[in-house]
Amino acid sequence: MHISEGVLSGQVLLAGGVLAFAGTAVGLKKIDYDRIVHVAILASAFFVASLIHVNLGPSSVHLILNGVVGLLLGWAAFPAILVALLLQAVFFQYGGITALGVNTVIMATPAVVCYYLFSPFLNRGKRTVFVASFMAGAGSVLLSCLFLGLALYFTEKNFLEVSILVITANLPVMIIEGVVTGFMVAFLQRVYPEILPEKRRIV
Amino acid sequence: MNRKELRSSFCQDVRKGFSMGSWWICLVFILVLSGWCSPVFAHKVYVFAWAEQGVVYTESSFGDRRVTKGSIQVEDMAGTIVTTGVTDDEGNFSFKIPEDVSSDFLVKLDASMGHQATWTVPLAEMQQAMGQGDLPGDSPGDSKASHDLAMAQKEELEKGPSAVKIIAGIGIIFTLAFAGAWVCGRINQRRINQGRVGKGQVRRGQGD
Repeated sequence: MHISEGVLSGQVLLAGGVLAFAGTAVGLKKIDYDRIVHVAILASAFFVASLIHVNLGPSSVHLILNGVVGLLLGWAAFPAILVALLLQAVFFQYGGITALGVNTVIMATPAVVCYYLFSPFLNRGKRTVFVASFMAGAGSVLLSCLFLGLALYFTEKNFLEVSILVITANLPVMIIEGVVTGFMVAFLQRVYPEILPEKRRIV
Repeated sequence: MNRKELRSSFCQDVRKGFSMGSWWICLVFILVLSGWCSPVFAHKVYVFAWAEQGVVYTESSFGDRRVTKGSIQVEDMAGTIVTTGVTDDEGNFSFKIPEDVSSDFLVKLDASMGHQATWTVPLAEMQQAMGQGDLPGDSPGDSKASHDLAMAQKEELEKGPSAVKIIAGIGIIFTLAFAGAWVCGRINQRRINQGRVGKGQVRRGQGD
């Protein structure tokens, strides 16, 4: 899911950088002072999740966790994902510094979209919470694949082909990520609701 | 409010944010993942190339998994394409070194979906490989030493992420978070001191 250095054109890198900067600025403005530690916890989760690399048949996949980050943080997902991606690029050479903006947009935008789509269901019954979280986890990976295809479109000019390839390769991740997000959020809602946005807690 | 009181207020806020629940989740998370990550390889694509007996061999992988049907493009330093090809099921691709080789070669791998990697084959290495002759079996000692050195470099590249780097990364994230909390705390305190806002009205972020 990480786009490497030297793949994208300058214009796409620049556009990604500008969008990532804007998203991060909004995210920083919206971070609740009391929840900065939660942002750090979820940024750490995102930072480490990509290292869990599971061989699945002929393919190999890794978790992304942008769904759960978005669901729990909203706009604050932008700075959290930006910092995690920067550290991944520096320490593990995932993606790259020049592609940081694009990679941030690819992973953080679906997180924010899923926050607005699915977080209103988090203060409902257990089953609804699980289903909404599953949809957020799987949906964020699907959207990330589409954004990745869009970014590569400007280089390779075959959006449909690339998108189908990326979505097919990441289909197992969507399911795994959906299940992980579902269980994680349902569990947190029960044992540690403070980590959820204030309006989304069951009282 | 003096500096000591300010520090105390900041510590209280951090403790409040970092309640027992957070510590518990953090601890479980770090323990599980640090155990899980040890046998794991980075999801980073590599291309590795070495010259031997007049041929440049390349090997492409995602750490523990070979890149099959990845596109390889070889360029000289002037940007002229020397050759192109596709990796086989083992992630291998090789080509004969041209007689008129005059610069380093840049081997570019495109493993699709935005995964790309490069490797430079030095001119000296290729000249040495050509000097050994095109026939297999010439200077077997030199060839084996060159191959062993190349394999050692490859293993170093394919090493998975170390626990130290993972912990350092998490440490940096929390340091940044605490620094952010400290700056926010100071700004809020200054506002209270200046009488611009009351104690219960400090800015906590806009939320959503």
